[in-house]
Amino acid sequence: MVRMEARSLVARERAIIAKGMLVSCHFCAHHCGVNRLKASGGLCHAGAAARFFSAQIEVSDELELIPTFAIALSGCDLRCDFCITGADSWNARAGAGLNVTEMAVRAKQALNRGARTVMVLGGEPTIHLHTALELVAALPDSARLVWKTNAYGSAEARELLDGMFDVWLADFKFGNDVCARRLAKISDYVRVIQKNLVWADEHSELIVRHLLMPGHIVCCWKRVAEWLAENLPGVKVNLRSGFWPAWHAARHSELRGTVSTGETKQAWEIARICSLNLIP
Amino acid sequence: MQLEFDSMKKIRQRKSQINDAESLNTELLILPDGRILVQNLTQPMADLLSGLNPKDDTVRPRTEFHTQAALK
Repeated sequence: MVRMEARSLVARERAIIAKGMLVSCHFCAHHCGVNRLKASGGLCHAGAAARFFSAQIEVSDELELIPTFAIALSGCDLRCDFCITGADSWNARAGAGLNVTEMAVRAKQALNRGARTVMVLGGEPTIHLHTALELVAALPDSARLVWKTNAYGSAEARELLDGMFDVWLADFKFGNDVCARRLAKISDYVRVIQKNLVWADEHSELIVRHLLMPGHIVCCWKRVAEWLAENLPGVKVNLRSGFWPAWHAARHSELRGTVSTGETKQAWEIARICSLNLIP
Repeated sequence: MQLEFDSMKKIRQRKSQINDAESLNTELLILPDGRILVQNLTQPMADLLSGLNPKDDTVRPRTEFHTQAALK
């Protein structure tokens, strides 16, 4: 990551560019091309104004990132049936309107009180790229910023994000496109995610997250682990075993429970065999 | 502190968690085998859970920060 000018100044310029892109939105890999200044007709149903459903200091993320002031923006471009925050993540109109100035003040207060990072997440923050960049512009250049993403962003979004966030905390949810389509109604998932992860590793610090899902150890986790071992050796990986059968998970028989002890052991063994750099 | 339990599959519009410094939200799922799954863990809840099981290695490292905001 090369920072030629103050991050906040660059972010301010890019936020203007991103706002202009709302006329034909290509922030994510769905490439809807809808005019979000006139309607909210894309797959994420987001209009031009970002909303948020949670903003607080949390300690549940990776140990090297916490405490973090986590700002959760409403709406998402995926439709994961097992989403733990489905009601707010699937609804871009949930929560309250985001006043960037006020949120930046809260974030700075959190940093002054001991938070180590500011994390922008969702839903999916990529669909609110213009607002996220405004937020970056309003935060101190010294703040350690985390971009918590599903990694389904577009190349256009990547270009605007370059150098803006210190850490990309990116999900690699599904190991194949069949599971991605069935569980999250998403196409071309694996190719898009892999491309974005490689880019993120080259342009920032990268932590890859995988949430173990019951019945998906071999089809999803094993494939993810093997790809990471081969293509991003040494990358930090957080393997999360606390699957929670939330939201519409019951639509899928295998997702009606939690991950079994046996599956968890199997998953850790796969990580060991792949020599993954697991972090807590 | 507000505990909010997921309704598993019922579609409902939760009260969004628009928090100020005094209002923190954590969600817990307590399993029959005694495991507790947590979403949006805050410092006070980490302290509470660690108090229930001080030997738990996943929660204990998350109790050590005590930011001023979290202590409010």
